[in-house]
Amino acid sequence: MLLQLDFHSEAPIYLQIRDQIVMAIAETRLKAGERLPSIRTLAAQSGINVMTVNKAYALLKREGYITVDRRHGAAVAADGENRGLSEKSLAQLRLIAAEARLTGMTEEGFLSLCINGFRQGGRRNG
Amino acid sequence: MDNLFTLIMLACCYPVLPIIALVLANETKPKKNIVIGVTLPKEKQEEPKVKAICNGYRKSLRNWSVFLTFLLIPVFFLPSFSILLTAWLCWLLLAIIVPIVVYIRAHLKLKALKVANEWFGGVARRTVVDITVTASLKKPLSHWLFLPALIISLLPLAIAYLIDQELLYAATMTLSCGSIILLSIFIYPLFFRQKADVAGDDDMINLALTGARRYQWGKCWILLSYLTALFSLAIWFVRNSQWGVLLIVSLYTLAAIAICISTEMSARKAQEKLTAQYGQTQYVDEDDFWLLGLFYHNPDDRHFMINKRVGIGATMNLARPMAKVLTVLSLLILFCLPLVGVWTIYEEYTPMTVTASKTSVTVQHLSFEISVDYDDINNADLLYELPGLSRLNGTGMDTIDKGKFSVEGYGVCQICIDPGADTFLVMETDEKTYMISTPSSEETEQIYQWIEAR
Repeated sequence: MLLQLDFHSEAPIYLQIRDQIVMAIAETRLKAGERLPSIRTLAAQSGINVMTVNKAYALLKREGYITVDRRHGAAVAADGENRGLSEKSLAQLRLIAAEARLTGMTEEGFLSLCINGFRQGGRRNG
Repeated sequence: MDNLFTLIMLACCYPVLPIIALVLANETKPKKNIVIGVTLPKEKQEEPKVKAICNGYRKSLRNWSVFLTFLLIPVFFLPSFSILLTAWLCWLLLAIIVPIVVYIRAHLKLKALKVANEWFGGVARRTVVDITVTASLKKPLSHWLFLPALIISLLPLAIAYLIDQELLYAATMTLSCGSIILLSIFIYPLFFRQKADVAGDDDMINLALTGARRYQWGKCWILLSYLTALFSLAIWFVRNSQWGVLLIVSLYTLAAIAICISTEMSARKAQEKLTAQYGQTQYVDEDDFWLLGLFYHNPDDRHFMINKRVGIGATMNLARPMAKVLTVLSLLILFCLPLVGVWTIYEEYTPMTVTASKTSVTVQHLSFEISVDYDDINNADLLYELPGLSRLNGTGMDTIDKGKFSVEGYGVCQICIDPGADTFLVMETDEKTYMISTPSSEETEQIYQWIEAR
């Protein structure tokens, strides 16, 4: 799985790491149980600060996407856990829905976009 | 002496040209989608215009190599050591710069073609890391692997200690060879810390690319350590034969160069084969970080060392201040090479100045000076033939020998002479023995008479 870091983007690097790992898990490019590099190795390989990678891994762990074990390092969390969307993600979804409504999009059109986006993200849980 | 020197310079300097030309010519074969330092989409690598640039580049490299080889012919007829040395150093500079200029011209031409045709599509201006590869990277082998080599390199010192002979020589050799082995132990893991190769979106290919390079370079440092250990042992056994030492040093140098070149070539061949085999959907384009296809400059990359795109081994990230300083220093040293020759010409063609009076004599050549008061002299000899000399330190050329020399019949002497002179004056004092010559025999005889008179 390729991690592409854009240092000129407005998105912070730790968030770029978090978003790309989430996308890779959803698209099954990273499979459940697959080992992730250690914080130090990933920082050294991508040429970024250890604290930045640490922040991304901590966020991913808090959100339940990865597990971090002192002995075995970081790995993609197992399937099947229905965590639901975070408050922040739900707020973003509501904002996008409002923007769609304001552009004159119909409910069916918006739902169709959502379904396409959901399917593009892979079929991790079935 | 000039003929032997020409042969030594030929053996040391000439191989630089074919090695650089071959390494640069190899850049026309796509490796990690890179052709002459330009990243191209796979389907464009066989375009006729790309092929034409590659063929023209190879032809140009060949023609310049032939021209530079012919340029060496007049060197064989040059009159003196210093002019010969200057000519060789100038030629060496040309042999390094000309092929690189040919490469840069072809690189810029291909890059312009890429821009004109908008052959983009790779992941550009981003730092790309393959997470799967990074998680699977193998660790370097244990440092203990180098221990036998280190022990072998210590053997001459142990033997010298046991037989109580030539301890200083053995200690010098052991220290030199041991340092090279210790350096290998230090550099070996550094190759495993370098950024992993990422050619495209295929994890297995990226892993194989990185693995191939690390395996080859790891093997190279281990081999170099054991080669150095054997060299240490061999040079001890042939220490009394001048030709034996020359042979062993030559063999060691040749073997070390061969190991380094074959390592890089094997790694690149593996890259070439691996990237030619698969049809990728996504590829990495880091051209923006490579100035002229040679110099890496990426302010967002904290790595100091990076695998070279062209050439052998690693290069520095010029976005790091220390890398800038080291690069400028290296370029300065390279461009100042012919100045060493100019300085030698100055040494060889500046005459000695002799200031003699009835009480003392001073012989001066540039910053070197011998000054002797006649009252300090215990014994003086006037020689009409130059005795056998062996330089310990200083300068030895056709027109001047100066410094500390071992002189047949007199032992260690401070000398400042023109080896072509007819008479030589040896002056022994309580502390040192001196040997001088003057521009004319009459002057030397006159000084000798003044000494005898006192």
